[in-house]
Amino acid sequence: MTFKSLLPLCTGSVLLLSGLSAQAASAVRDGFAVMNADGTLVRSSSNVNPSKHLAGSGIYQVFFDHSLSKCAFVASLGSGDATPPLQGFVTVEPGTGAGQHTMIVVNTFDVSGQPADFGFHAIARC
Amino acid sequence: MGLRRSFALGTLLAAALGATAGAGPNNDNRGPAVPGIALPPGPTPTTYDAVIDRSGNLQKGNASSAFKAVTGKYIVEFSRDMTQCIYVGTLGRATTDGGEPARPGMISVVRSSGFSDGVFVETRDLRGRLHDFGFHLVVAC
Repeated sequence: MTFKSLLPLCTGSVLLLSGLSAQAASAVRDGFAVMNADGTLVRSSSNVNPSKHLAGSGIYQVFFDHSLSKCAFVASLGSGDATPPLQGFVTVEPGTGAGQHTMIVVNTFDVSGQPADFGFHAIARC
Repeated sequence: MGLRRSFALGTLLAAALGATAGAGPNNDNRGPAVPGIALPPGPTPTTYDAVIDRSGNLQKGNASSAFKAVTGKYIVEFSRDMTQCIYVGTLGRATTDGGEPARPGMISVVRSSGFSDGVFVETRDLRGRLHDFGFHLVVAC
């Protein structure tokens, strides 16, 4: 077997390994958080840091340990246990101000569209 | 057992049942605690994502293109057949530049009828009327 015949095999292996490591890196950058209405972080992926909430505002800031500037976020109203939440709405958006690139802002509303505190489940996909 | 004693026992029992029944806002999800079940590992899904502004522009993510068809109706296209995938969308802006507060609404996601590589998204206001909103979309195949 010559070096030339081995070259495509080696190149293929390198590309395969690169692909796997890129997938693994993406998986590490993805994350999730389950937060109660009072802002308590119930559970989360290991890359989520302590988060913030101003009572009554319906606004939650979920901080990650890396930039989320290339990520998409999805969230649903919910709770950290089997307690059914009240009805409402949820929106997601990137943060503003200090730490904005590492933050998901989750806004929750009651059925009339007014800001109200609700628990939720959120996922960041990067 | 005397009548008085039976009445007291019945009252206690009724009170206990009443307290149980009224313990939460909704009893549909009550029941014995269920331990977690270890399932065999399944195939790792391939995931895609897109963040679309209210005008239908693709702001970030790995979708190949996006556009707004008419008010509140969007199509997001990816680089593969999406007909057997699952779609999850949440209303939300790509950026908070401008400082306007977030507005609530509704979103629904289905596969596109005209594009096999597309996801069809509808966004509506609180009254159920089609309305332009930005949204975040995650797809797993």
